[in-house]
Amino acid sequence: MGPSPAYSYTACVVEAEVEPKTGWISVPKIWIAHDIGRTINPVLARGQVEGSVYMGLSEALMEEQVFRRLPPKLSSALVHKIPSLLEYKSLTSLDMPEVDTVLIEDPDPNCPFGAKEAGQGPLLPVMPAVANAIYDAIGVRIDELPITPDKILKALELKAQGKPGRVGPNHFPAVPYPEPLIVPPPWEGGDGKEVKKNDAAAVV
Amino acid sequence: MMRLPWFEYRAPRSIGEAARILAGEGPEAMLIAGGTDLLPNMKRRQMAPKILVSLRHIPEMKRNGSALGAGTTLTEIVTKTELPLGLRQAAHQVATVHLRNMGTLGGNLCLDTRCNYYNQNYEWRKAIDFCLKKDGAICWVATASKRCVAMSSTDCAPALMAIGARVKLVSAGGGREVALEDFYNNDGIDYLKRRPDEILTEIKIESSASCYWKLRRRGAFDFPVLGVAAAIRSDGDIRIALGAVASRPFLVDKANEFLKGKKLTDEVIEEAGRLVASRAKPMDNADLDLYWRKEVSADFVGYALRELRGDDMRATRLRITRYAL
Ligand SMILES: Cc1cc2nc3c(=O)[nH]c(=O)nc-3n(C[C@H](O)[C@H](O)[C@H](O)COP(=O)(O)OP(=O)(O)OC[C@H]3O[C@@H](n4cnc5c(N)ncnc54)[C@H](O)[C@@H]3O)c2cc1C
Ligand code: SF4
Repeated sequence: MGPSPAYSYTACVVEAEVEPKTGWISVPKIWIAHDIGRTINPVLARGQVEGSVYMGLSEALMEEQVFRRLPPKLSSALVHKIPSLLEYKSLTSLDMPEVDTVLIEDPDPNCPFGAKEAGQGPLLPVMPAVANAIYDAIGVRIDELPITPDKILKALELKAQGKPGRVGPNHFPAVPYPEPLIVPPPWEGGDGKEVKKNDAAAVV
Repeated sequence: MMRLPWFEYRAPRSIGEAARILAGEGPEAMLIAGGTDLLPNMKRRQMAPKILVSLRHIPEMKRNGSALGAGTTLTEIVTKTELPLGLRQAAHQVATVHLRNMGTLGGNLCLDTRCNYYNQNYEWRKAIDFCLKKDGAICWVATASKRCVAMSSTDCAPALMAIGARVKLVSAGGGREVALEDFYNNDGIDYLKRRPDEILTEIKIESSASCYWKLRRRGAFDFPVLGVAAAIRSDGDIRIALGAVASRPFLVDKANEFLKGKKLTDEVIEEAGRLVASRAKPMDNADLDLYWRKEVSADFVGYALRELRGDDMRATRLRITRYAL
């Protein structure tokens, strides 16, 4: 993750309740198990993991950039609808569910004192776990963030019409990925420079 | 950092003295109670009064008679268990603890209307060009509109309106009393029928069974995007008032007419919900999806009327508001 030299893994379980008439979502509890390598400062590490849950859940349910295009007779410019932190919402401590945090210790020999990372890794599984919990609760899929009650009602309506109960983009955007750069490590004869693809085939 | 503009500060000790200052200084002077709405607005330069006349040092503003002093803080309202439940539920859901400790009921009833394009700092508003409500010539929400459609965002007003509250306004020339439902205009700019020289001094209420339901994105803290208040008056009539779906809070006459003399059966509640929803006209200048907000107003009326009927709504309330009151 990020600048960490090792991969961390996190498992997340989300309990969600959805009110079918309004689409209102509540998340009473989240369990999170993070593979941290070795815990150096347990209080700090748990705080990091729980902070990630907070970030992930806010991203899943609220945080959004909303723009609005001004009419052509004005300037057709895009205007940010929620430019300040009063309207750009994330959870408050009162909105946080109970979080059950488990740190899994399996020291990584390539890392300082065996510690991997805590912070970005545990953020990532929260959003898909929320989406899956909502699917489990009410049988519709919201394929974009944030997952909001109006999208749930829309998906339920589609489902009632016999269409797939999904809301969100219907395809993955075409991303023009560049060709990978291949730079072998010193013990494979690398000198810090990119090697030609043909040479690299042997390495990879 | 946003700084306050310069202003002169007056701290009168009586309502009479405050009224005389207002009469003498004219519209250049503004009242300040808790300042939780006014000061942020001044920092954003939505207003820059030359003189602030504070109401905090006037004991009469807090009087504990049969009427509620307009200077009663929201926290005090929450803790006074003898007050109507709907009002306490509304006060409890305003802003956060610190703001409720400072914010007053009078200030809440006179709260400026809100809009995403207005509640921004000076530079932001200047960058997109100012709007009708302040310094500009166009409404960014309804570009064809000649009228500002900023939203009334007071939580306590619908709660008080449903129970038939009346407010007393005092000026140097005398006083008058108006029913709360006659205190507001459906106009985002000129939203109060209060003259600039008038002070809202007290709120007269009768005790009645009542409740208040508030829709917002976060149960913990947010301005309302829908407020539903319901009450049973002493004559047995049921009244519903809506907040945050127009430039003023208002009684839903059509639904209240329909509810007259009826028992709150599930069918009656459903029909009342439909009638209320047809009157909710939210605008695209606040949080959450516009159409969804309108759609769920019927459900919120259902919650309110069920609670009024005596159903146990605690689990739903906790899920939506995060508060048990
Ligand atoms: C972050 C934040 C969140 C908030 N959330 C909510 C919310 O969820 N719901 C809500 O309703 N409000 C909310 N508020 C607004 C505000 O805190 C409350 O409405 C509060 O009750 C205002 O009272 P005050 O005494 O501080 O008013 P002030 O700021 O002192 O005054 C507000 C206005 O009323 C006028 N005024 C005050 N007292 C009188 C009087 N006695 N007679 C005549 N005019 C008077 C002032 O001149 C001013 O124009 C929020 C504010 C903030 C900053
Ligand atoms: S409703 Fe229109 S005029 Fe009123 S504050 Fe919003 S943008 Fe300005």
